[in-house]
Amino acid sequence: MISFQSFSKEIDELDLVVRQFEDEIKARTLLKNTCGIVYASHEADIAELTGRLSKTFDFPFIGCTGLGILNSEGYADEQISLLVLTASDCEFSVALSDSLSEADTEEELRKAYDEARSRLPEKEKVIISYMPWNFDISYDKVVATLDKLSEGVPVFGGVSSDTWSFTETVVFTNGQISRDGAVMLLISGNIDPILRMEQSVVPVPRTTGKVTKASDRIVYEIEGMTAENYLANKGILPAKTSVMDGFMVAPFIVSREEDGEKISALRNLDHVNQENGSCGFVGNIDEGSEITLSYISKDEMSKSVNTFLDKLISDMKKEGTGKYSTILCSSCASRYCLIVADKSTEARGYVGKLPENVNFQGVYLFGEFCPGKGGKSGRYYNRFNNETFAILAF
Amino acid sequence: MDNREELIAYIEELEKENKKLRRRTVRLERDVIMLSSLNDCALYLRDYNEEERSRSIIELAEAKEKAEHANKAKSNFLRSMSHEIRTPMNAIMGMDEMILKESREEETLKYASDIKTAGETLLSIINGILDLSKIESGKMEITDSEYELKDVVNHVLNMTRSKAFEKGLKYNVEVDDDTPAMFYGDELRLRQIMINLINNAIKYTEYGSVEVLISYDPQGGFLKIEVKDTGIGIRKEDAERLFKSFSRLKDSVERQIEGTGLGLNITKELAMLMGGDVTFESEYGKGSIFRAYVKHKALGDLKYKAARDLVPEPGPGDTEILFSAPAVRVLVVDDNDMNLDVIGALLKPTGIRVKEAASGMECIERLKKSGFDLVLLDQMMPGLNGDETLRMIREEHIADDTPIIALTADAVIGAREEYLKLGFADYLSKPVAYKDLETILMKHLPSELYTLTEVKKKEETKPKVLVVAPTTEELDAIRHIMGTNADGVFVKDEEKAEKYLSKHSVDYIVRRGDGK
Repeated sequence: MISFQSFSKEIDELDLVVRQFEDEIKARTLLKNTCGIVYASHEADIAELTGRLSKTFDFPFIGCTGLGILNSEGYADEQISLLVLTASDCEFSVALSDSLSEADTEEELRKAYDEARSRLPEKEKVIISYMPWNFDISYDKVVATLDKLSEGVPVFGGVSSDTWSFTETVVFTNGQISRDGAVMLLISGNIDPILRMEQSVVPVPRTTGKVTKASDRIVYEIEGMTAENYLANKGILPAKTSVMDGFMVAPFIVSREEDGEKISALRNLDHVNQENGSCGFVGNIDEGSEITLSYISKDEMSKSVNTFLDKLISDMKKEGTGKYSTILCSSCASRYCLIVADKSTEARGYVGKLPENVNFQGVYLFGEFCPGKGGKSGRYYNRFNNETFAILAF
Repeated sequence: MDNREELIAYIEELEKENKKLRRRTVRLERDVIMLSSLNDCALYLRDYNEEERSRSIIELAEAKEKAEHANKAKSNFLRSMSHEIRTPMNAIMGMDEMILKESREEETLKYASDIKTAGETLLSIINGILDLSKIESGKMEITDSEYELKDVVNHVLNMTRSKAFEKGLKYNVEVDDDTPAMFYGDELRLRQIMINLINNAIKYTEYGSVEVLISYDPQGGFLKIEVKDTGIGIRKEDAERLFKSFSRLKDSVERQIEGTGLGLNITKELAMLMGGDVTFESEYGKGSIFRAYVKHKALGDLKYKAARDLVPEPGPGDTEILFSAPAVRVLVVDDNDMNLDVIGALLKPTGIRVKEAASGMECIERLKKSGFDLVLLDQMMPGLNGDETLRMIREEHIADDTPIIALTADAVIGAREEYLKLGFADYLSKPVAYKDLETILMKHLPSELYTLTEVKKKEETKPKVLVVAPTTEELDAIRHIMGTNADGVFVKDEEKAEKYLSKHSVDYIVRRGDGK
């Protein structure tokens, strides 16, 4: 597989943008199978963009909005970036689910997955999926469903974002945009994906508690007292009920055991229900999990992303030219908050360092899909994460 | 294109820019709102952090208090245990000293000598524990005074030389020519540092040499002691544990070298209390160099070399001084009968008339009834302890002119100063060694009350051996084998051997077995 990238910082004159993409792609040779991944600033007219892309290109694509976009040359607030994947030994298949609701998430995802899967000659090696922000849907359930349907194939992607209105997030594919469905790209064939994530959090001392009553994203009790009282006792509960914006850089580390492995994920506090004392999180928290308040350190984040990417790039280089052509990145919008004064902080980790013919394309999201690797078994455990810098390389 | 079209194009351009700017303004506004919320969260975290910090400070203080309490309890336990050990040790060593003085049977003398050696070893262990407990409890004080370096060097030589010779080691103490003669600092602690380092070097060296170099760094004001040995050395992996209390290196345990693992720790602590430190370098199997430096102020311009040349080198003579004071009355106060017996026995050859008291009250009563020339007053007694007894004696003006000497088993560094502060004339540590007792008596009794008689020393019965070998290494090897069993004279050639034999007689001659 090879990849190439076209991008533009123009987001108003979409005819010019798509024409530019077309010209650049025409100059390249497309192999037997081709698809595209598009990240676009939410301020762009996504309907127009989707229409123009669909008319211009005959290959399938998926896309999502983001409040900040990364490409091989760096970061931009306003940008449209198209990554084209083309291969003779890989197959691509895309699908968009119908509207997801709490009741029919599994069913709608199954239909979309089956549709995409049916076009592939063999089992996919990775699923790349995006969905809009919708607190009525459990993102954990989306990931778990895809995990179940694919029988454990790594799921990468996340929840599309906007600049904090949470109303302008969309996903799109050829001829369609959606504010409540999940778009997915399945890749089969000759790829050996690398999936890694990095979380630069520092635990706050004496804030660890055991979740004693919870259901999906709602935690009712911690250490036998209401979640609200527990947090209040720790002196970390704000007066207002909708708190996600405030706790964006102070996630909770949630640890639980699965197959004898301790798997951790980060969870943002979303709201406090003062009527029953429960707390809603962005992402599920199981009963019996341990939660610890943490915070993201800006300095640590910058250092660790650099180290993380250096290691990844070094590992890719060791594999030799040709094996890897693409790095996709899902970085959390919470991280964007911390680097708002210097938004190129994470981009500096790879700009100028990428191996030849490798393209980097990333987007800041409201939640990331990326599996964690079990320390003992070495197998991937698909997870919905917050606060994560996640990477898929293939 | 006319002006109107240009204007429309210009307006469109402006509108486009305006749209971008408005969009960026919205983004900035939203970023600001988001950051403001983050700031709220940061405030919660900051408050939490401050509370945590306060809590941590309190917990830290509590933990510190607990640790100090535990440390104090440990120190008290060590002190009390050492005292308990010292008391019977006083009896054992005192009685043993009497056997050594009075017995004529060779076998008995040998047994008594073994008891003495073992007793001294045990005593040095107890002293180390007591010193450490004092250092750890922060009660170790540095007492600076003027002193002459040659006194320190002579004392250290006297305390260490015999051990080196017994092992057949070459032993040399050298003082750099530029080293001043007089210093201001804690002489006792300096002696202790030097003796510890040198004894350690001797202990861990089986062959070769122990060399000591003393010098002074006038810029830093540091008196420096370097002790170099050709001993077993220290493994790299053991280096970190070297200065830790009760930590003994694998080699010393395997080679069954006696010790508690306290010496170097105490030495380092003492050096640090005097503004210095102890460092070392070592090559395993080849030897070590330990360097101690302490901040002692040099006084005057006189150099050590010049001062040393003014007085003759001390050396073992053929005679000894016998102390006699039959007119003297000494009151010994101790609740332990055996200790009373020991002092009585030690004083017996001096002719001193000894009276005993078993308590502080009995002491006071006796002093009220009759006068004494000197009182040896034990510290730890039921009822009135030594300190309280002294206070009552002084308050009631019972024996104002009588020197009262503290007898104690709590012999730690700096104890003398403590007892002097309390009003004692001096201090005598248990187990009481006759030489120390004699020194105290000579110091505090009027000179007209005692006599000193010079008598010839009992002749040594060791065979005198002349050793002839061409190299230092061979001579060292033979010296090592002979140990203390014979008095050796070592020469490298026949000419020197003949020269020696022309003036002296020997019991044996050992020559290298090559027919020469």
